[in-house]
Amino acid sequence: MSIISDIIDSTKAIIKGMSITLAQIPKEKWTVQYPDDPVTLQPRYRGQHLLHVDELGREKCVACFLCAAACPSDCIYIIADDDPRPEEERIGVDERYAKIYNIDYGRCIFCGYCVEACPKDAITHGYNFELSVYTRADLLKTKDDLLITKQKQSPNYRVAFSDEDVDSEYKEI
Amino acid sequence: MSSESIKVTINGSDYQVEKGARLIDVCRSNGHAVPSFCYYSDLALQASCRTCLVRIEKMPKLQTSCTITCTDGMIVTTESDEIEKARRGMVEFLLANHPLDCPVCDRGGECELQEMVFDWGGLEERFRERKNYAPEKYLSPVVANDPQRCILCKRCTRVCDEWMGEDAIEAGGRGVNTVIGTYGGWLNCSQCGNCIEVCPTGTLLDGTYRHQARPWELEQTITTCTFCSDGCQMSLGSRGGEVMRAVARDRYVNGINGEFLCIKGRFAHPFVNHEERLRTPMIRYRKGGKLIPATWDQALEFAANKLRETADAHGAEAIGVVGSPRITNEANYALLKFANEVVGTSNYTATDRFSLAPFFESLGAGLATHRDIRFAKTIVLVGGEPEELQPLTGKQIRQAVRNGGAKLIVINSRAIRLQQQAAQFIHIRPGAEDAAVLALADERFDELAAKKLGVDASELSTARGTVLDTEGNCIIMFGGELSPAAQSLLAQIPHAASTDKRRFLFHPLPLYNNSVGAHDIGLMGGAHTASSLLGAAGAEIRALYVAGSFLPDHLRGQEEALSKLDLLIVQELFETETTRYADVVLPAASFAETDGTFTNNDGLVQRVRASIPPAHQSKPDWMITAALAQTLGMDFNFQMSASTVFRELAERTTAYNGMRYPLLKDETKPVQAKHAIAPRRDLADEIEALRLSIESLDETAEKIMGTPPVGHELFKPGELTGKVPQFHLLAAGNPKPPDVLISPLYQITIDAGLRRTDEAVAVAGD
Amino acid sequence: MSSERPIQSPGNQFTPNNPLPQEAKLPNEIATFSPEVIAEMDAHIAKYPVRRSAILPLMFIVQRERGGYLDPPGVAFLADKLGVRITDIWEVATFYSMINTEPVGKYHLQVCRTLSCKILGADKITEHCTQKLGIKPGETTEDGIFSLSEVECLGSCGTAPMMQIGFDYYENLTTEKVDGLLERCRGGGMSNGVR
Repeated sequence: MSIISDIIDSTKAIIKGMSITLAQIPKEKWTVQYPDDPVTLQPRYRGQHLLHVDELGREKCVACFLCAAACPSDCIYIIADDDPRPEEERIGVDERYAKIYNIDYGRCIFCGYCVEACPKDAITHGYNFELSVYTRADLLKTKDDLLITKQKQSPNYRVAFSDEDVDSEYKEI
Repeated sequence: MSSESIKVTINGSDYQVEKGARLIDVCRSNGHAVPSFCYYSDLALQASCRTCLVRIEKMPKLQTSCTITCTDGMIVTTESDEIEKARRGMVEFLLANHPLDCPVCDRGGECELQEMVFDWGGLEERFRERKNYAPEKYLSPVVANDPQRCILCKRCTRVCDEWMGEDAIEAGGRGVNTVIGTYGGWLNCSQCGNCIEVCPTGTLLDGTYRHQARPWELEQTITTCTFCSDGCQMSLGSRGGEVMRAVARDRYVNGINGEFLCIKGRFAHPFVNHEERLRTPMIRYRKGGKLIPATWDQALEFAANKLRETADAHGAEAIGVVGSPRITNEANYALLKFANEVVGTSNYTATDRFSLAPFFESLGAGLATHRDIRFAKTIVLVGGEPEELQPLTGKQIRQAVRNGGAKLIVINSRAIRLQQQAAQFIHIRPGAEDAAVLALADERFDELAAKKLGVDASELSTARGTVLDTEGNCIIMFGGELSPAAQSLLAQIPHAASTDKRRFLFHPLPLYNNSVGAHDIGLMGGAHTASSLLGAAGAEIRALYVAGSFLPDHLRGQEEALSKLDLLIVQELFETETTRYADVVLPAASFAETDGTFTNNDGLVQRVRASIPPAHQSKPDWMITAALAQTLGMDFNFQMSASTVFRELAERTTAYNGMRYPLLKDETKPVQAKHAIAPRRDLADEIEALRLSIESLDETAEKIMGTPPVGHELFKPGELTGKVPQFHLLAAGNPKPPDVLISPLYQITIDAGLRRTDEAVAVAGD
Repeated sequence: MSSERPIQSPGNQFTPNNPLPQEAKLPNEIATFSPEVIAEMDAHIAKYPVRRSAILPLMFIVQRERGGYLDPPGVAFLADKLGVRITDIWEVATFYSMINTEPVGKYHLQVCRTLSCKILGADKITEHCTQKLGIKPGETTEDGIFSLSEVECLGSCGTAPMMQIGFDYYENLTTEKVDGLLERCRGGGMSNGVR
C-alpha cells in the first residue's frame, strides 16, 4: 500500500461521512431541547404516582392495601385509620382512609400494578418524571408529595394529543 | 352411640359411614367439596343459605346436605350442571343486597362470601335495583356492625345462644328488612366477640382492629392465650412488630377452643404494644430515689452485686425468689433453677391466688380435657365462676347440658349464671364450700353440712345420688374457695366412687394461664407462700427477686413490707405497685414476644410462640434469669433457646417427661402432662380437721342473693386489660353513645372516674 | 358508591318504604298492669305447654294497654313474665307488622302490598292515603290519629286490594271507599282494635 492510496481512501470516507452530515442540516431536527423545551409524553406514560380526589376534594383512597399487596417491589407503605367525622368533613370518601401513604421511589419499578389493582381509581401514574434527588431518603414520597392537589407538576413535559404526536426516539425518520 | 355402618354412594364412589352421620360432613371428609355458609358443626341447623344443595336419588328436588342424615343405600351427586346452576343462582341471590365494598371492609381477604363468589359467582350483577342501604355502626365498644353486608346465615345468633347462653344478638324484622341486631341497638353482653369470629362476611367486625390492617398483610402466629387457665389457642396477627389482632378462625388455628375466644383473649391484646411498656432496665441507686434508666449490663451487675452482698451478710436463705402463674413454664423453671442452684434458697414461690398442691398430691383421677367436658354425663361444679373466670369451660359446660344432655350440679354461694343450665343448684352460704365437699365425700356429714350450708340435707343426697347414678364421665370442677383439706378430700372421691361404667375426671379452675404449670414445675413447693414471704420481708427475708408482680390482694396492706427489703429485683411489663419499691426493674417480654409453654387447667402443655420481637429493650423472662445467673458466675447453658430450657425442664419434671417442642408443635393434638395418680389413702385426719373447721362456721350468715352481673370479672380493668380503653367503657356499664355510627371511644371520655373502683384491686385472671 | 351515602340518623336508616325495624330505647323500668290484665295474661299462658309460646297474645295485650305500641317498660315486663330475653321480644315484635315498636296513631292503616293487592292497585290506595293524610308510609299524622304503613300479605288476596285497620279488614278498596273509611275514622265510628 502506498501513501497515495491511503489519502484517497481517507478522503473518500470523509466525503461519504460529511455528505450524510451535510444532507441532514436542511432536514427537520428531532433533538428535544430539554430542559429548554418540554418533552412530549404519551398519555399512558408511567411517571410519578398521583393520588386522586373526588369532586368534593376528598381523597379517593380508602386504604384497602390492594396496591401494596400488588406491588412486586414492596415500595408502598400504608397505615389506615378511622375518620369518625361526618361525611362532609372527612379526609377521604369513606370512613376508612390512609393516614400514611408512602411510596419509596428507590424501589418503585413503575410497573403500574398498583394502578391496575386499585378498586377506587385512587392511584394512577402521573407524568412527573424528574425524580432524582440529592439524598436517598428524599426518594421516599409521602402523601403530601403524591396527592394530586399537592403534587407540583413539572413544566418540562407535555402530554401527547394523538398517536402521531410524538417526539424524539419514537419519531419516524 | 350407634356404630352401625351404612353404605352411601357419592358421585359414584361407595363409602361406609356411621349411621346418623350428616351428609355434608360425609361429603367433605371424603373430598367432595360442598360449599356452605349457615352450616356450622356443633350448632343447631339453619338451612338458610342453600348453597350446600345436592341431588339425592329418589328425592324430588335438590336437597340441603346440611340437614340430611345419611341413610343406607343413599345415592348422592354433588357435582352436576343442575347443581352448579342452583348454586350460582343462590350466590347471586346472596349478593343481591351485598354492598360489594370489599376495599373498605375489614373482612376483605379472608371473607367466606368473597371466596364463595370467586368459586360460584357470576362476572356481572344482574340485580340493578336500589339496595337496602344501612350505614356501618357500632353495637358495642368492641363490636362493629354493617347490616347491609349480612347474608343472614344466623351463625352469630346461634353462637350467642348456644355457646354463650346470652341470646344478646338476634335477627329482627322480616323479609328483605331482616337485620341482625339487638333491642335498643346496643349490645349488653359479655362481649366475647364470637359472633365476629363466626361471621362469614364483614357484617360483624372487630371494633378494636377496625381499619387497622388487611388480613393478608398480617403474620399469623399460633399461640396460647395469656388470660385465663383455659389456655385457648389463638392466632396473633402482627404487622411490623405490632400485634394487630387476636383471632381463633379455623383457617389460622384449630385448638381446643375451636373458634371460641372470650373478650380478654380477643380484645385485650393492645397491652403488648402499649406505650407504657417498660423500655429499658432501671436502677434505683438509693432507697427513696428515682428509678434511673440503665443498660442491661449495669442493671444486672448492680443486681448481682446487691444479691452477693445480701447473701454474704444474711445467708442465702435471706433471698426469696418469686415466680408468677402468668409467665411461661420456661421462665418459672429458670427461676426455680436460680433459687436452687445459684442462690441456694428454699424461699421460692409463685404469686398465685391459691395453691393446687394438695389437690395434685391426692389426685384420684386424671384431668378432664375440654372435649371431655363437652361430652360428660354429669358435671359437679363446686365454687368458682367459670363463665366469668374460665369462659371456655363455661361454654363447654353449657354445651354439654344443652346439646349433650349432661346433668350439671352447681354448688355455689352465688346464683352464678351457669345455674340457669343446672339440673340442681345448691345455693350455699358464702365460705361454706368445704362443707359441701365433705358431704359429697361422706354421707355421714349430711346433717352437719346441710345445717352449715343453709340447705336441706336431701339436696345433698340428691346431688350425691346424681353422681352415683352417672354412666359415663363424671367431671368434678372446683374453684379457689376450697381449703387444702377439702381439695385433698375431693381429689380422693374417685377411689371410692368409680366403677366400670363411671369414670371420674377432674377440672380444677385456677385463675391464671399457667397456674397448673407453676405447680408442676415445683415453684409452688417452696417454704413460703407469696403472702408469708411478704410478711417475712425485712425480717428473715432481706432480698426478693420477683418475676411479674405481687397480686394486689397479696400486697394489700403489705406495701410497706416491700420497702423494708434491702433489695427488690422486679421483672415486669409495666410500672406497677411492686416496681414502685423495686431497686432494679428489668423489662420483660410479654407472651406475644416469647417462646415457651403454658400448662392449662386440662394439664395440656401448649406452645406460646413469639409473634413479634421483644418490645424496646425487653427480654424473655427466662433469658433475664439466665443472664442474672451468668453475672453471678453460673452458666445455665440454655444456649439462648427456649427449647433447650424446655428439654431440661421436661427431664427434671416428672409430669413432663419425654416432652419436646416438636411434640407440642401441633395445636390440634395437644399433649397432656402425665400427672401422677395418687393411690387411695386414709383421709381420717383431713376429715376430722374439715369437720372441726366446718363446725366453727357461722350458721346465721346471710346468703348472697341475685345473679352476678355479666362481665363483673371479665370487664374489670386489670394490669393488662386496663391498658385497653374499651375495657374501661365496659366496666363503666357500657353506656350507649349518642351516635352509634362513630366508635364510642371518640365520644365518651375515659377518665379515672369511669374506672370501676369497688373491687378493682382484686382483679383476677386478666 | 360510598361517596353517595347520605349520613342518616340510626333511627332512620331504612328507606321510607321499609319502616321496620326501629330501634328502641333500652328499658330501665318495668310496666305494671292491673290484676284483671294479669289474669288475662295468665289465662293465655295457661293454654300453652311452654311459657314463652304465649308471647304473641301477651304482646297484643301489652300493646293494647300501653298506648298502642310496645314501649320499653312493656317489653321489660314481657321478658320478665315469659322468662325470655328482651332480644327475643325484639325479634318477634319486629317480625309482625301488627306489633308496633314505635308509637302509632289511633288508627293504623295497614295497606297490603303483596302481589295480588299490588297488581290490583295497592300502590294507588297507598298513594291516595298519602295525599289525603299528608304522610308517607311509616309516618303518623301530626294530630296522632292516623298512621300509615305498607305490610306484607294479609291473606285476603281474593278481595284485593285491601287494608287492615285495627283488627278489621276493609276489602275491594277503591279510592272512594278509602275516603269513606277515613271519614268514619275521623268521626270515631270505627274500631281500632286497641282502645
